Amino acid sequence: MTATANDNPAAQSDLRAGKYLTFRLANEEFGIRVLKVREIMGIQEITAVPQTPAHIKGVINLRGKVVPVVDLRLKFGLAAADYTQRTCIIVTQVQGESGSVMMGIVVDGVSEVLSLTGAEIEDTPDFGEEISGSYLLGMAKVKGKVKILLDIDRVLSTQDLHNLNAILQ
Amino acid sequence: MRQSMNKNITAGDESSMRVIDEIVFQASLLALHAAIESAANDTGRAGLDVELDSLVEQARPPARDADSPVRPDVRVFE
Repeated sequence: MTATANDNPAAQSDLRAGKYLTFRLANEEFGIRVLKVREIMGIQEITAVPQTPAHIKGVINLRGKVVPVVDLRLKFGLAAADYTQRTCIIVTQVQGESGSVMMGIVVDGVSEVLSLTGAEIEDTPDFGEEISGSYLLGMAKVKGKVKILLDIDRVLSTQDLHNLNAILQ
Repeated sequence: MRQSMNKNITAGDESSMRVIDEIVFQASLLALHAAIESAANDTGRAGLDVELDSLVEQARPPARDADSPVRPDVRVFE
């Protein structure tokens, strides 16, 4: 069953089924795989690193580990927003070329952990043009709304990390 | 009754609302971490780096702060 299942589109969407952590960004809801999440914390002091792109807010000290933090609003080209009490940093484990690294993302607020079945996840529609990097896992249809599922490995492409490492070294 | 309640909230210490807000926030973080932890356990992956205990510890100061400003307000209703 498992050998043939991979050729089947329905089974492919089943691969995406599972638990997602949803969060707010601007007016939209996004989701990332729960298994990518290492920690969620309220906003805290971020040490800015000079000469980094605007969306890299800097680094935080996470129990002795220096973890880079990316503002997802800026990364996605959305308008910057002031950080509030609801603003959170989601620390994610990202698979890069040189192994897995920890990276924080700043979001407007976290919402909930959702269990999604394959049937609730739809492929990203054809927007008529190529979207860079195909960082979208799909679209989740929940309670008449659409939540955008992100492939966080691709969103936080290692290009950013290389740039940061080059500066830090 | 409703009127007196509204008056109580507007007149009431704004800081107690802030403290309650903070507790709600910390509690929701705790719940999310618990959900993530259980999802990780289901798949046999190692759990979170953060200890739930330390989160509880973080929530303690606001919970303690809430005790004093809120209690007089509660007494008004009694």
